Amino acid sequence: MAFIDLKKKEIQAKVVYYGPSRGGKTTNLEYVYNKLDNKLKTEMVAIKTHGDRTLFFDFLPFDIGVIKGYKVKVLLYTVPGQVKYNATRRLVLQGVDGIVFVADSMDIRRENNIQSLENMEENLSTYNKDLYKLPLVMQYNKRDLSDQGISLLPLEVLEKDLNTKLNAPSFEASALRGKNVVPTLKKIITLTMTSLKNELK
Amino acid sequence: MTDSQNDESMNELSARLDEIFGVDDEGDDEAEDLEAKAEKSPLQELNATVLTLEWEITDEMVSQLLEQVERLKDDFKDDYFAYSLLRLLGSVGKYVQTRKAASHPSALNLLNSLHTNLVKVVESGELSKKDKTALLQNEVKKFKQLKQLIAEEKGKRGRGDERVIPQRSESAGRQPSAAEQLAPGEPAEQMDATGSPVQNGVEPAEASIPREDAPAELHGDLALAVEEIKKTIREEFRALRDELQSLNNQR
Repeated sequence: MAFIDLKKKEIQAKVVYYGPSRGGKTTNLEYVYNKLDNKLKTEMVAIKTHGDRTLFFDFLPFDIGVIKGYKVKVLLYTVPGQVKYNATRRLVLQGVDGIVFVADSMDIRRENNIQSLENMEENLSTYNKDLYKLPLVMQYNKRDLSDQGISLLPLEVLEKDLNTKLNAPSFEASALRGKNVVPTLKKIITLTMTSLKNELK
Repeated sequence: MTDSQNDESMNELSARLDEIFGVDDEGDDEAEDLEAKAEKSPLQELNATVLTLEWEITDEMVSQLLEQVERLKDDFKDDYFAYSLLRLLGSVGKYVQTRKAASHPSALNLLNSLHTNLVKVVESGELSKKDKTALLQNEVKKFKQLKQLIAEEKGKRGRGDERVIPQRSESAGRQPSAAEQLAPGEPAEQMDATGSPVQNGVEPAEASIPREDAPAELHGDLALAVEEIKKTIREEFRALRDELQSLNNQR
């Protein structure tokens, strides 16, 4: 649940980028960080391993400003995608308000996407959170790789594998080039804030 | 809150987000240029293979890499620099083929570095002969460092490092040593590759991590997370020590 201080009129929403390893979660955050105006820029925390992999999580907080008298702050997190870091992933999911699932479009990663989604659902259930009730946006990343002759999963297959039941808004994207990174973020923030408002009613 | 108030606040939020990130930001316009460039490159297939290997090391992809390198060696036989880089790429590729994801991390870095510099040599018309020579010398130096790192790892394993994961049992008969893979044509130095905590091209199974039965016990999760991080930090330090040792030995 988001941090909401009615007295101070502050809202902090937590959005987590989840998905298989090397799918582009950190790249999404790096792009967002670079797009942020210097006035809004806070420090992005990223702890990486020798091989440039996310070790614990990435963290990027930023202020949206005052909306209807409330100061709104969004905290963006990524989880480490590697299978072995499940305890860390579960920790990062604690108190999550919205999720961007970053799927890897490469066809060799099809199983990894499905496993990661199942893993996310399982981890959420430990906090009694229902994936079907949480604000969620699907991002099918690395669409640009087809230009380099790499075989990609068709969007229909990705939708069928990951989004048939969830029916979440989805974007095809290239985090490396920034394609649809911001629309994905705008969508999840809007969904999350709407959900928080409904909870507060 | 009424629906109209809801709409109003969402509009305000949307406007604020547009203000922060710009309206309809869909990414860089450079994408089309990159696509056009990729289409013209004689290294297009190799680029795709190297990129794929970054995500996952499979027999199929490594074999593909080696085939492409052989083809390109033929195409670039008159270009000394490109040909030499391709030879190095082929040698590292053969080593990676043997060890797959258990390859020394520096081998994969070297693979990427050789590929990046090959692209520079082939596609940049502005590189002088001097630049190319320096670039090649640097890659050869890194190649030698890698050989040394692997030799040292072998030494450690020979002394009975318990953390080393055994070789795949499917490899009936003697496999070529890492030294043979890295330096075809040179005398074998009887060394094997590293014992990274990953084997058979996959990351350690989740099952290898003790799992809690109780739902979301924070302390348990935190302890596990700390253990995961400690383990990785130990591995990172080990890799760094090896690199430092190798640099010291070179002086």
